[in-house]
Amino acid sequence: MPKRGVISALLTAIGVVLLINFKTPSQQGFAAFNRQTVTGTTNTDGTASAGGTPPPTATVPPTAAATPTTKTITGPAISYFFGTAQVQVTLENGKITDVTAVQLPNEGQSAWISQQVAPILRSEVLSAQSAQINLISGATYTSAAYRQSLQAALDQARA
Amino acid sequence: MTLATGLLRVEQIMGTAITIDLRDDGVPVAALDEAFASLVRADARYSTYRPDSEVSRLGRGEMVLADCSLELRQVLTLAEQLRVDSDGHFDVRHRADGALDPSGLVKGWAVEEAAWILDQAGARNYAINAGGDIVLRGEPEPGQPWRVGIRHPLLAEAVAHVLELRTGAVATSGTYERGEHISRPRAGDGSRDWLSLTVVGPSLAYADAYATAGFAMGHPGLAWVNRHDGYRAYGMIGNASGVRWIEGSN
Amino acid sequence: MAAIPTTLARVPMPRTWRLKPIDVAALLVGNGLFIAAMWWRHGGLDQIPTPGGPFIAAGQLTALLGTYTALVQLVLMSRSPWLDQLFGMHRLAAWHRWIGFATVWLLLGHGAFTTIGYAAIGHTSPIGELWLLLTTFPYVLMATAGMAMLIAVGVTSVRIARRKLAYETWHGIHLYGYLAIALATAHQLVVGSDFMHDPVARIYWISLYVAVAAMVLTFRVGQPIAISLRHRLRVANVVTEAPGVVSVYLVGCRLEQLAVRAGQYFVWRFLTRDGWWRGHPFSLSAAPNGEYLRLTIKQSGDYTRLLQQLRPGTRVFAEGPYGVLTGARRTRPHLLLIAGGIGIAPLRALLEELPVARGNLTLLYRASDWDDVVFRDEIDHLVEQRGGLVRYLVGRRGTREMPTDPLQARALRRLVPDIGRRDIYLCGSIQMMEAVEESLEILRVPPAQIHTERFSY
Repeated sequence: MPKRGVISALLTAIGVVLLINFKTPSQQGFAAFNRQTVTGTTNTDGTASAGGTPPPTATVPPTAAATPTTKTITGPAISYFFGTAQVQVTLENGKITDVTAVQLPNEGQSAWISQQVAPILRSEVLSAQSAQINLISGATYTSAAYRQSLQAALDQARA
Repeated sequence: MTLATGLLRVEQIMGTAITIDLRDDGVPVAALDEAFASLVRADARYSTYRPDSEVSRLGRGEMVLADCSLELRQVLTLAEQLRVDSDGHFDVRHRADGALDPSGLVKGWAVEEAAWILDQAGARNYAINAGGDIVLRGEPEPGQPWRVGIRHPLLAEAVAHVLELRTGAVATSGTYERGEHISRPRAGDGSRDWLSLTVVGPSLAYADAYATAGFAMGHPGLAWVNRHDGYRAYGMIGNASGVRWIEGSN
Repeated sequence: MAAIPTTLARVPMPRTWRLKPIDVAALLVGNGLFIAAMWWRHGGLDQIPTPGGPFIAAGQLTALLGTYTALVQLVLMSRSPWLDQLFGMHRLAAWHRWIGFATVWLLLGHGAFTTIGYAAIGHTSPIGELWLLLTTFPYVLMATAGMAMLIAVGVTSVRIARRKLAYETWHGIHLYGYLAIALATAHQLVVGSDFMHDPVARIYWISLYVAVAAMVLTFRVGQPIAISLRHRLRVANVVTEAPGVVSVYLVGCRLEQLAVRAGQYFVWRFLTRDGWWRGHPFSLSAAPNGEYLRLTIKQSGDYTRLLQQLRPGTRVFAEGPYGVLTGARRTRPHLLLIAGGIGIAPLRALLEELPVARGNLTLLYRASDWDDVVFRDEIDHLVEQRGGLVRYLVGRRGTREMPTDPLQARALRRLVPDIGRRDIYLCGSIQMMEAVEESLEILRVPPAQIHTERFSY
């Protein structure tokens, strides 16, 4: 076989291996995609860390014996046009330290929404936590189901 | 029997997220289940988004009032009272196509029903938040009132004001929901409008209705709500450069 | 070894199948309609009123049909003996060409429509949307790489480009078509709206792939390996028949069990250092006799030049047998064989094998030069043995010896007055065959009596 053929076969093989190893954020799992732990106030920039936690169930009793000051609350799974969104809020000592997506539509056409919308909302949320509030009265946004779920989780966020 | 210990549960019903935050020890989890189940039943009955709900069917003429459930008839009777009371600013038939839309009244009614179920199960300290309409009882922590943030009408996720309450209902009407869901049965010139109106009182059903009507009335609405014994209204006016919180006198 | 065995051993005939061309067409078209119906049933049309809906719908339909036609492409080129016997390789290759361009256009459309549709829903620019599609949708990047490969295959197959490329280069690029189809599969199942939520549709789609893969693997890989293992073909002798023309004799085990007819060809892969990766079709130039297989090759390029120097003992891979220039196509007792140049090879084999009564066989052998005439002795002997007639039409047109084209309609009729009632087997260069076919049309010979085999396409 001419050298040209060997070289192109080799390059093709390398190319295919690279393509197969390219993973979209949703393929990497939610842990990598959205998990950032922030202590303190507002900034959400940071590198994603690997490792995932199993998605929690909808009802989470904060067990007083084990971790008295860490609470993890899951918002409801909200269905909207592109799929289902569900948000999880982590609190330490009543302060929101993390907001993650338990479920975001990541199949097909809604993946881009998840990638686009989630990070923006996240930073907004973490900046609103100064007032030590138990719950919020007001109309809920329906433009993003993420927001609804988050709203609900946030309602009970500060104790 | 599993006891609920400081339980928090959120479910999607009536097109919105409904949270029950239960701070008591010793309340059976079954009570929570039943509370949510009652909300689901109310949704089925009253939702205008479900073509098979009682309200939709009544609106389409597939049912006559006499065939409807006692509960719906009661709601509609109350709706008529409120219409007269508010001079038409609260009208469940005010939709452009004349369709029946008692959702402003119904949600509060249904949430109170759920709260009553919790009361029967022995709960004394809880908060139910149905997409911004709230029923409170007791205290979140011993010695502390519930702190309820009123959402800023213009800034996302910002809180404009905080109310401290123990037992009671809170309802807020505003135009910052999807589209303008407060359609006005009576035209106003808009110059003396509220950005949002919050009503606090013993019953969420009335607080909801009063908030809807008071908002639609514009500035006179605040005094109108305050005329009702046990209910107080708080309004927000302003624009992007600044928002003011208005409380009535007396 | 150039002697003709006086007794012909009986080798088994290749199997025939009861399939008819219309059956194959119905299956392919029916499947296509079924796929469109599946899309419709999944609510394809209902999307149209939504924002971006028409584009998304178009994107889905072009994806489904484009992939289906790509699979049909593989089927056409699978070298399945069934398809070969029904249609002939030449016709399959012609369809492959047209369907290939359709595939590229459909898939390009799919990419464009889908991007525009999603951009409309998400209120982003198409470029921004394209970036999102590539980086956040699972397996779409590799599918897009596959599409780029298919575009390359399409572009290099346009006649202008094809003429400028060496055959090896063109063929090498063409092979990327397999990889392209493989790379696109994952995203269809994971992100494709018809397959994401419908397990039955997924199973159907996967079974399409499996069926096509089975066809390609069986006939392009499995069968040649089986022949090789069973018959262990190797070069026994290489004999020069004429300047630039050699006959290669192949021997092996159990050749009397290798089913092949006279007139057929195999795609041969000579396992030399430089030749193992190329396969070329050559007809048997002697009827299969159970003792050896003979190919006769005229030098026309560097590959065929290499073959002139084949060493005895070289192993050979054979893919086939293929070819429709066989006795299976006979319709009449009278035969006319017309050979042009090296096209004599399959006709020389047919001359041995085809049953024909004395006086019913005529062979016309057209060549530019007497140096180009091969097997003269064998032909003369066989023709005499079978009571037939041979006419050597040697010379260049426009010279004194041959002022007009001897294969013109008028000339043909003079040579073969009863041409209208004969089965005509024709093999030669493309120009020669086209000229003869034109003459036969003028002479109103029914097309069912004309049998040809083309080797370049």
